[in-house]
Amino acid sequence: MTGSVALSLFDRLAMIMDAVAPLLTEKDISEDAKAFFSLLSKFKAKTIKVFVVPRQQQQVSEQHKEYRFYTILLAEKLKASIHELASSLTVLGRVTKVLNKSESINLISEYLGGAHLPDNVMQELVDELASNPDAAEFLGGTPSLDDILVKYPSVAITPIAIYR
Amino acid sequence: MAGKNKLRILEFIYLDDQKVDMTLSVLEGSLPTQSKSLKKRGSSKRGGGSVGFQGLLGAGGGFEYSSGEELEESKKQNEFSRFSRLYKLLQENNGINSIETMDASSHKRLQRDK
Repeated sequence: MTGSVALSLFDRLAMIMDAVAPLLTEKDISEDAKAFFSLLSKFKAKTIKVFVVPRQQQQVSEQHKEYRFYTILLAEKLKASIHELASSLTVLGRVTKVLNKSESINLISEYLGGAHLPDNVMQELVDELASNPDAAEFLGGTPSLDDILVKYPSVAITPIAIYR
Repeated sequence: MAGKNKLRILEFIYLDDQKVDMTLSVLEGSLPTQSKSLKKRGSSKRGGGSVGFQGLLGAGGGFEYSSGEELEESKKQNEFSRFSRLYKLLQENNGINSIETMDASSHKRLQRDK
């Protein structure tokens, strides 16, 4: 499949934090935020969660854009910089799960080792991020619940290779 | 889920070589031939016990004289050739379903085939 690859919300956040963390002073960031980003940093070092939207999907109706693929990459298998992922690439992988209407994958749980966060807490987290005027610019779009919840009709794949 | 088009790779952004080898083993019914011969070669004394040469050599051997850059280039070529072999085998076995777009019917088809 050839399509556009996008990092998940938290991987984008973690990448931004990597870039800006050295520039922050103690006053710029709260202890809670530091702990949260430190946790993100720990997990993102091992895996990178990405969405892939097939190339021609981007030309069809808005309704069809929800048909996207979700995959977890092992950081050690990356052959290029993580920045290279955010572009149009070809993915060869195996379909591992086609989500039913009642199923969803919570990306925060993936980060937190399976811990479950209630939907309203996740929504609050997203709202908090979305209320920051700089967030959309930094993240390449206004964050939404779809950024952290993989749901029907998404398809999970195990990647073998991503190339251009 | 690439197509039956000719394989063109400018560069790998991500490559799970273990999955490539495992899938090759399944499709070929054994360990990949090239890796086997290289393993044998690597274990010979002529190899000098270099670290990390397994599966990296091209034709002609002589890895004890290879620079880091040459080894890296050999490694890349080896990755390309193993992946190309896998891709070809998958195509021959109709194991590649090219997905360029998704809608309700293709989603159902994936669910059914899963």
